Amino acid sequence: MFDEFQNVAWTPSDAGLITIADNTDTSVSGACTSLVFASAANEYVDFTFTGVDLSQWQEVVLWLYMRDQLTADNVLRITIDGTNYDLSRADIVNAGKWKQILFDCTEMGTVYSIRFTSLVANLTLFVDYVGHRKVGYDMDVDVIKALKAHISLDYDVATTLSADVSAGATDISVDSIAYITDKSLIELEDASGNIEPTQIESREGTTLTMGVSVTGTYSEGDEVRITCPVRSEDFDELEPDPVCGINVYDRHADRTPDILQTENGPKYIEYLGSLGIIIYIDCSNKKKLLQLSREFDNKYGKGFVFLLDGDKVTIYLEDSVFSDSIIGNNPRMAYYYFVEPQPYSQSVFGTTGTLTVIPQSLSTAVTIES
Amino acid sequence: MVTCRLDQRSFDEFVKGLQELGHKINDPNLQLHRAKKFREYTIKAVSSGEIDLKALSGLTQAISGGTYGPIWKTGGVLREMGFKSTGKNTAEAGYWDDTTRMLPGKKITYAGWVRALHTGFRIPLKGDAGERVRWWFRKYHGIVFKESTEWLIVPPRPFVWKAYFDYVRTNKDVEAVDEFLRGLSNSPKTTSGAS
Repeated sequence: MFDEFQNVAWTPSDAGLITIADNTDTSVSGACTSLVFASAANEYVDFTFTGVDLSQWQEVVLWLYMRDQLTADNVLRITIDGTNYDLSRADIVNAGKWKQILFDCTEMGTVYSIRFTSLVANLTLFVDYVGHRKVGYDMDVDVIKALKAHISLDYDVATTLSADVSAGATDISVDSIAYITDKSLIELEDASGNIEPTQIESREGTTLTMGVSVTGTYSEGDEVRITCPVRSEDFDELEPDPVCGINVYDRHADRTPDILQTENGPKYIEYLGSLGIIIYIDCSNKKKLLQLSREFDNKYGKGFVFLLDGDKVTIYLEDSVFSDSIIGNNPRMAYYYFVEPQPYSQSVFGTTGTLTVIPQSLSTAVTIES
Repeated sequence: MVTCRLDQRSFDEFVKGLQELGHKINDPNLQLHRAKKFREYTIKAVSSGEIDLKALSGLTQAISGGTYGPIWKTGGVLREMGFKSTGKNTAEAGYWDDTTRMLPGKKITYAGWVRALHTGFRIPLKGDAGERVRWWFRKYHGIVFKESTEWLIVPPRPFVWKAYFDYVRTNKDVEAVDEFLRGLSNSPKTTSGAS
C-alpha cells in the first residue's frame, strides 16, 4: 500500500532566493514540483502535509531529479523527523533519469513536514511522488488497484441531451443512440463542467433509463459521453458494456531474496512470486471493441510502466487472444501478463551507531562512526 | 614444459559423440518430441486439476447434468489439441488447427471454444439478446434467472498458458530434451517423415 502525503504545501525559507513551481515537463507521476535555489546555500523549503504516524508504515518514498553540476560535495540535505540525510550529486544524479530515494520510517513518529535544504549556492531540483508505503500480504491487491488506476481507454462516443433533465429523474432523452449499449456507463456534463457518472439500466428508442436517479440538473444540448471504465475482479460489482476488466488467472509461489537500500540502512526483502493477469476489453459492438483494443495496443501493448507502491514497475505482454461472439457472448480481446508484486519486508537491519574496532596487532582503539 | 599425449581412440569417440549430438539436436523429431510431451503434460495437468483452474459454476454443472472435470466432461477438447512439425527445427503444440471442426452437438468450433475459455466471456441477460438467452435456458434446462441478473459471466480459464508456464517452470521441457538426446524416447532417429 502506498499513499501520497495529503494536503501538501511548499514553503521557502526566503521567497526571494527560492522559486517553487509546478512542472509537467518531466515527472514520475505526471506532475512534479520544481525547487530552484539561486545564491541560496543553506536555504530550505518545507514540504508540509497532514500529519502521518510513520511508525505504522515501512518507508518514506520520494523521487528526485537534479540539474547536474560539478561538485563532489553534498548538495542536498533532507530532514525527516529531526534527522538529517545529506545527499551528494552521485546520490541523486541518475544518468538523466529520476532517482528514487527511500527512508526506513519504522522508527519514526508522527511527521508533519520534510525539509529540503540546499547545501550549495545554486541548485535546481525536481521532487515528485512523495509518500509512504508498507507492503503486506495484500500486495496482490495493490497490483490490481495500481493497474486499474493506470489504464484508461476512450470509447470516443458522445451525444447531447434532447430535453432538459431535472434532479431526481431516471429517464433522459438523447439526440443519438449510436454505439450506446443497454448497459453503458455514461457521463453527464452540465454547462459549468460538472460531471456525473451514471449507468444505463435500459433504453427504449432515444430514451435512456438510468439505474439510479440523476442528482444534477441538465439542459438540452448538454453533453452525454459513453465511457469504457476499468473494472477489477472481486472489487467492483457493476458490469457495464463496454468494460475493460482485470482478472487474476494464475499465481506463482516463490521466495526470491533481495536487499533494499534505504538512506538509513538496508532491509532484507523477499519477492513472493508473480501473478498471472488478464486485462480484457469486452464490448457488444465489435467495431468499437476493435477500436478500443487498438488503443490498448498502442498505449500498453507489448509492455508498459506503471506506478506500484511508490515504484515504477514494467510488465511485459505474454500473449493476446481475440474471442469472437460464438454463443451470444460479447466479443472480447484479452491480454496476458505476468507481474511481480512488491517484495515483502522480512527484516530491517537498521543503522550502525558506533562500532569500536581494536586491531589485534595494535593497542590503539579505532572508532568508526556512521 | 608440459607434454600432452593424445589417446587417439578416446579422441575419436569424443568426436563421434559430438557429431551424434549435433545430429540429434538438428533432428526435427526432437522438436516434435517436445511438442508431444507438452501435449501429454497439458492433458494430464488439466484433467487432474493440477493447474488449479477456477471451479465450474453450479449453472454449468446443472446444464451438463452432473459433475465433471474442469474443462469438459468428456475431455474431448483437450484430446483435440494438436501437435505437429512446422519446419526443420520447429514444432507446435497446444493449438486446435481444424477451425471448422465442431464440438459434438454444438454450433461452436473447438478452436472458438478454446479461445472463449481462455479469454473468459459474458452473455447479456438484458435487452433483446438477453431475452433470447433467458428463453433458451428456461426451455432447454428449466433454469430461470432473477430479473436483476444482468450477465452470465464465465471467468477466464487459460489452461494452455497455465500448463505451458508450469511445464517450463518445472523443467519438464528440459527433461523432454534430455530424454530424447539420451535416446530413451521412441522417436525415430531419421530426419524425415515427421508427422
